[in-house]
Amino acid sequence: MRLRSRAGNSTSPMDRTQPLDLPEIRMLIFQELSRRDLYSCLRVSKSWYTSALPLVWRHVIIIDDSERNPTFKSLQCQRHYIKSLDCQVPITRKYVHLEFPGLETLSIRYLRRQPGLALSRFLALNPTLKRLCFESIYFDNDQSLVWKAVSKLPSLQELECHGVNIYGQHWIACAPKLTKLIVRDSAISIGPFDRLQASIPTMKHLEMDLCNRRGSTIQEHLKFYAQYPALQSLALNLIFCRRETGVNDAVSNEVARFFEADTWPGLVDLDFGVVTMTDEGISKMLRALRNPVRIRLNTPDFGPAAFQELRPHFSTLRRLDLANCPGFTSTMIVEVLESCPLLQELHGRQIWANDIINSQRWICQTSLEIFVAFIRFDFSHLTKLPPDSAEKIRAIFERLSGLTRLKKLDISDTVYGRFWRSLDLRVGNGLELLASLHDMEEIHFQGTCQAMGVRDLEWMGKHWPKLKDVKGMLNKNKKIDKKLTDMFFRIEEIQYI
Amino acid sequence: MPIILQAYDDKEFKVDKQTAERSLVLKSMIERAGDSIAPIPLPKLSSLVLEKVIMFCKHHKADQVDKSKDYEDILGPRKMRNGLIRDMDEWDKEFIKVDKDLLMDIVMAANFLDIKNLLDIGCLAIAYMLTGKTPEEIRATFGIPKDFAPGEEERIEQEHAWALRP
Repeated sequence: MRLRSRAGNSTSPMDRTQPLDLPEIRMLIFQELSRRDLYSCLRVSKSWYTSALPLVWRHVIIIDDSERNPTFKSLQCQRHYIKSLDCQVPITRKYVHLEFPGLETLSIRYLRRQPGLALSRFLALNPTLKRLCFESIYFDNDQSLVWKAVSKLPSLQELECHGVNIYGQHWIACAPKLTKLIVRDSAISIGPFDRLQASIPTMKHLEMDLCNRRGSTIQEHLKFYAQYPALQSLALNLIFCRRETGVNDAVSNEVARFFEADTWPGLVDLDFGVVTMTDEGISKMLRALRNPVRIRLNTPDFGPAAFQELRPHFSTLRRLDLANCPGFTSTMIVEVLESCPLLQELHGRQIWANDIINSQRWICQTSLEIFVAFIRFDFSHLTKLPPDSAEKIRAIFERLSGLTRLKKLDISDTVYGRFWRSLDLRVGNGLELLASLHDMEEIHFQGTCQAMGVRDLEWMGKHWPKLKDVKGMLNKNKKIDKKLTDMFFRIEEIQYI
Repeated sequence: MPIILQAYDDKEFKVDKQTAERSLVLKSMIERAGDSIAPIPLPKLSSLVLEKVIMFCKHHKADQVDKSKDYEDILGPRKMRNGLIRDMDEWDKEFIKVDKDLLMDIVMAANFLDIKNLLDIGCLAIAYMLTGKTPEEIRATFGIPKDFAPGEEERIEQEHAWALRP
């Protein structure tokens, strides 16, 4: 690419209107900025202030520390800009009279006491709400009022409850536009299978991890989910069905039957949760899937049969999380890397160095995050390194350097509480080959044996401009490690743990 | 049939129809003119800028609808940092590595010609230039006069100090 200097270019036809002079372009640019940077833009000039103000106020968090909150007066003044409000203080009568004409998202978190009456009034005043999230809160009086108000929100699309003890008559009595419902780590004292309005045709994402519903059968679960034919995401949590059905194959048959019957034609994101059944059972369910983009399984029973049924899905898979499947072996992980062109995220356990070295070309093109627990060498446990070890390490670095969009590499091995020989992250040993990984954001190497020095850290700072998270012991010598850690702290924005 | 584009300094560029049609403005002109299209004068663009714009359109002429976004609504958006929400691909990153004045002209041209992708990556590049700068540094970089009344900047600063919270 040619790059000519424009200095002295007197023929420039532009009337020197700068894009930053145009409000519509300023908005496009400001949309890409963090609030910290918007805060600077606010103070540049009057016109910049006008453009940046709505974006600064778009998302407001009120925490339990009045010193660092927006003042009530400015909240009142700018409330029409607020689209999303994240409250970590109770919504009390003080807020009830505040109307936010553009409010779309409300999150209320970490509260021992949220007055139900005040919240229900607040909800009634803000009918524009599309998303509600309750996390670890207790309501102080009858929840029915709250759920009644929730059910009356005309535009509500998403509701999430994390760690909420749900009771009350009107829990989601009516939600004609709901697309997403997540109930996680919560207890419901009314039967959700009876209460939740049947067949909400818009529902796309459903997750009901109900602590007290362990007794339900797989048929009950599946029938419940089958009421939502538009589902794209589904978390099955089959563990809850285990005790009663007894025969595990029956569960997998039942699940497979629902998949095969095309109960959810748009289903692409599947979280099987914790599963205990046979390899064949798992494979039966996987075989019945159509074009999945995300699969998550947590099972000791994943094996060759299940992997065989995963193969037909390689062309569509974007995220695969088998981190808790010991049967997802090193050769399988390598095969996934060789075969999934769209892969964005891969969670696995361990890869043997030899499998990486002997693998075919890795074809993932998109930005990839590998959370493969650790790369293990056959000399990991030896005190004296065999003569070809340096060569092997270099070969691995070479393979990794091909993943030019790699964002996160996690080779931590904390299982046995000791330090393993793993990738030696030093310039000269192969680290320099990773200069092509411009997108590198996180590198974790806990439990591995490292001997980094100042030079290696400087190298990372220089070649990985997006690096923000480093976890692990930088040097097995504690004194040197301390020194290096201090140095990392000085490099702005890198979070070192 | 190639389309001829004339820059401000009368330099002419021949481009194929598909390339030109990345610009929605040119596309509608071509559609209106039919087969007998005359050279299109673009008096607002220098040949240097026009050359860059054509280079971009040529590279992206066969692009389909943005594929990278699919399933984002289901899987959730990818995590990004620095508030820079979208990723650029390698070619675009190299393409937009130009000096500040040329970048500004490219963004103006993309806006004028209505080339959405080019406007997007140009704005991202400008956003990147703004990150981490103080108001004073921003004013100096882009030649913006400070027009606040006395005390106004302090008031804004105080009222929005909460924005600095992580």
